[in-house]
Amino acid sequence: MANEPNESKYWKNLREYHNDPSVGDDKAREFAKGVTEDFDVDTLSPMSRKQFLGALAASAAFAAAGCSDYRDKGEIVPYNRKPEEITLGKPNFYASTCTGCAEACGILIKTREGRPIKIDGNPDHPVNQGKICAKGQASILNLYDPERLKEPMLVNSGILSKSSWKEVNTKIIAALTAAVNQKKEIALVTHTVTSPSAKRLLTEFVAKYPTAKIYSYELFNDLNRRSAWTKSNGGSFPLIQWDKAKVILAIESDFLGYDGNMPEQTRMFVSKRDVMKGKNFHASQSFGWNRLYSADATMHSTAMNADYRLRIRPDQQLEFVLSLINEFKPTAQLSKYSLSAFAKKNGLDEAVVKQLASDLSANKGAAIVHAGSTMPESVHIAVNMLNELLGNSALYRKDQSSVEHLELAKKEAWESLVANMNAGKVGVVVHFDTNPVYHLASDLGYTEGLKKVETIVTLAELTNESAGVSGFVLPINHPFESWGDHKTRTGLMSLQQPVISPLYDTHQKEAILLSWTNGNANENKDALYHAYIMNRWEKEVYPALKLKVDFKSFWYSALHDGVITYSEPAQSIAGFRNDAVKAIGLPAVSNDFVLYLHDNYFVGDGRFSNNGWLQEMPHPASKIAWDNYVAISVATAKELGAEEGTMVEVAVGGRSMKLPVHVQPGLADKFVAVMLGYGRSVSGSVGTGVGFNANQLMSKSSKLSQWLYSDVKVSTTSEKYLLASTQEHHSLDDTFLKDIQKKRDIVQEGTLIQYIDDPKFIEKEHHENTIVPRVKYDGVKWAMAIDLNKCTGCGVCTLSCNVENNIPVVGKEQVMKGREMTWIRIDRYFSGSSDAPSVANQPMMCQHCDNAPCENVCPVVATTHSPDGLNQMAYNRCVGTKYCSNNCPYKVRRFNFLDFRNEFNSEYQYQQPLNMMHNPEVTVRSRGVMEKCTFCVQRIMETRQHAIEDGVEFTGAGVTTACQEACPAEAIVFGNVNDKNSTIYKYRHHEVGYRVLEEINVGPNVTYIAKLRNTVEV
Amino acid sequence: MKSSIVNSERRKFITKIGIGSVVSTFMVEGFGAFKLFTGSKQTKKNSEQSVSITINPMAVKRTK
Repeated sequence: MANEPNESKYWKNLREYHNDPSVGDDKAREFAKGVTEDFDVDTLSPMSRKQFLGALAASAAFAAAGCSDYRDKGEIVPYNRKPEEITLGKPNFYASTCTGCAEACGILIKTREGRPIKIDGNPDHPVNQGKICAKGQASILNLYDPERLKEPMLVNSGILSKSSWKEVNTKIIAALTAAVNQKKEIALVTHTVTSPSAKRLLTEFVAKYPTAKIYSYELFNDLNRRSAWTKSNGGSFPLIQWDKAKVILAIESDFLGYDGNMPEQTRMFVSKRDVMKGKNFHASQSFGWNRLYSADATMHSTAMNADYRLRIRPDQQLEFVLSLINEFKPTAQLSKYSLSAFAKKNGLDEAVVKQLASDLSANKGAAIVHAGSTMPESVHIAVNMLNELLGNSALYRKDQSSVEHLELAKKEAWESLVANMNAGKVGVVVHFDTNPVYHLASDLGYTEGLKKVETIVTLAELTNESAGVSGFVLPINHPFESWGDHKTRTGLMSLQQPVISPLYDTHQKEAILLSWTNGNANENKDALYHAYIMNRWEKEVYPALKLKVDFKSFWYSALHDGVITYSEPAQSIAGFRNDAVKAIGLPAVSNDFVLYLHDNYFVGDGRFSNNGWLQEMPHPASKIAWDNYVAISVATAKELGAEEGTMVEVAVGGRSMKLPVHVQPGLADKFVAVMLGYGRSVSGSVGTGVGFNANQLMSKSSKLSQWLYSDVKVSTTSEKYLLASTQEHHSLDDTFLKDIQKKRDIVQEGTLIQYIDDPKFIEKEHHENTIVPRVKYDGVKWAMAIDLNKCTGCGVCTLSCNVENNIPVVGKEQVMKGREMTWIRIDRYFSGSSDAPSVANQPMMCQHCDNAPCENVCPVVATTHSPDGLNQMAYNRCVGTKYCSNNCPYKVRRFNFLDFRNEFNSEYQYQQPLNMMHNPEVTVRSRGVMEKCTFCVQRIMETRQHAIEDGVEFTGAGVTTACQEACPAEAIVFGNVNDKNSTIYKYRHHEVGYRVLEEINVGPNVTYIAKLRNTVEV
Repeated sequence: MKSSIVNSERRKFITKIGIGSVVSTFMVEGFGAFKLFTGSKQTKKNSEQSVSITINPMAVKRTK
């Protein structure tokens, strides 16, 4: 019946449901209406089907012929006279030194056709041993930054205009001479001096201009640690044998991150976290495996990797250390400091605190207590006392000590300089590749004082805030265009050599200073400084070594190696002086919030702010990129009524600013942490305006330290700000996502004791759910392994991959849409409570699955599998359906939604000379294609080619991926898994090795070694 | 002028091909939006060589 509902089980449409009569007619007719009725030929088009197809084909053929190949192949101009050093297609390597910070790590610069394209550590350098930090990896981009200063400039009638070197040098030399004649100070502001030659040059400069004074500074420095050591022990702070420590207590010390030499410290720390070194770590033997306690308020790298964490605010650290001292050596003086009372008062887990005391006591002479650089001097003195008490001075290096060429200027020196500036007693200020206008605390009055100085000269690679107030802006060479020598330790010197002639009309800063010292404005400067260094080495360094070879042979050998080591006595380490106890002040606990201004992992003190790769690197804990923020704990956020992105006002000592909130699990309560190095007002187009300049919260006077402030007020506003995060961060609240890494065994972890009791304790899936036989790889089969015990989440692998594989920068907006293009990401997982979560880091890249779900679904076969187990990508086949990415369970495929080089910052990455940075072995992808980790197929092919040329069998040995090569912890292993003698084979078959989402039977080829926490609880 | 192609159908066919090819060539070359898609700005950028790479002759290379 019509319109009565159809009572049958299934219906396809509403007409059928209402029993419409037309449904019956449709069912009776085999063909649709109009198909079989007779048609009139005269009404048809005069053009036949044959004619139409012919016209269509002809049009298509001529349209295709008319298309020009839009892709610019560029111009290839053959060498008229090929330089001897270059073999086309083959890289050259040069040893040099990184000057991104004061650690002066040895580097190897890889060049192709004369262009530096990749930086890695110098394996011959004994300190960093072939590894560098993220800043070092990305520093190649700074060389090719299109916004580098290109020629000298001076201010003419209030306008900055181009000039010549002769003109600026003549005027500056005249100004320097006039200042001396008028008995006015010449202030030269520099960063840490690591070069003995530069130190001598500065001495000569002062000799030439006797009123000159050198002011050396760093935004983040270890002045407090040094001064504490001088007071308690005398001499300079010793180097630490982290690889011998069985117990480490880090007091707000991020030694695995930005505090100290990260590559060296990471290598030493993880050397006692190696599952391959046998199982000699029974708990009762005081374990060969180290145990890390982190007493901190900030969720930094070291805190994330700690076995035990104690949430202690910086203002409470002194009381904590004094309580520990009292625990081991009770005295009447310290009787009021009780460890158990401290734990109770501050909500610490008393069992953990007891375990800490027990471990320190059981490992006297084999433990280290280390306070972070930003801690007040009192804390450092107390820590020195504690180490002395526990006999931990045994872990101080006696064979080598650090070297300081020029003491950093203290607060009093700066105050004196500013007073002189205001009194008109300073004639010339030279910013020697420094930016004190941005870095120094505003209440010092430095910027105001500069207004009274007649001649201000800024030497810089890129424009900055100090250049903005200068009368002369002189462009300097990038470190890869410069000569230098560096000595940061006894018995060790490294050389820096230019691998490329200056790209622009720039000169090396030391060479400029040399020409001022010589009083000659016309000199050819760079060769002069080269001769200066050689001369010093010939007169001072070479004779002391008493070598049998002549100087020239020695010099070229030193340049070749990049580093020389020789016998030199280290400073002797004196014991703790008991009278230093008097210098330990009383703990002053804050009545309100505590503000911590701290270093960041990627842009440094702001000098790398124009580096897009570094800006786009997410913070290891927060996973936020392109911004800084004020991090607060979950409880504090609730108390303030703030949530992610809420703007809050942070006020301290009459200074205040608004910052967006990031709710960080694991942070201490009543504590706010802000990274410095952001909010640049004068930088390149990439860095200007990124983040917030928290330097304005700094003060020259603080009860705690330059970076720590107590009695801080924090208030919520109604404003909101969007932060770009590369990883969702609400997993602890979302019921579905909570602990998903544990439910799906994405991250598998346990404890050391569990592993000793049952080596096979982790879950493994070995289902062979297939009705087709597995492909057998008889020759080389590539696989990778990542040891989660060694991985600290530092992100150096990501930066190395970015450089090696020409990864574009996408910008904040695109990162917010989840379109960051990094082929390897570090997934950070929290588990446990939001107040005190455990953290696991997991690098994730293409797993090169044997049964890749992406390969089956590509409609144009753009992604295939190679005979040696690689999941391949043919960019020019890809039409951008994104079906492969849809199917990838690991979500490791990156799609070029836009031509990011075009879109980001107005075609910034297409500007000359940035294109010269590209690795010529890797395709530069454009819009509309999918890309992903290739296991560095270009490196595989290069090694394979060498094997073919040499006529040897290619076994897969000697191939290292970019991420593997860069990892400071050597957490990444790669190779031929079919070679039973290879390291990868051992990792692949390790008892705590597993593969992510193995149960879905895609056959991933990346093995992860389960994270083993060295805790007492199981 | 007498065409060498006797068969009228064939003559018409070739005429249509010729006109079609000329029209389609003009369409492809003159179509502005197509130029946008081809990213021809890239051509201009890459051909502007503003810096030259010169190896520093004093640098000493090494093996990796």
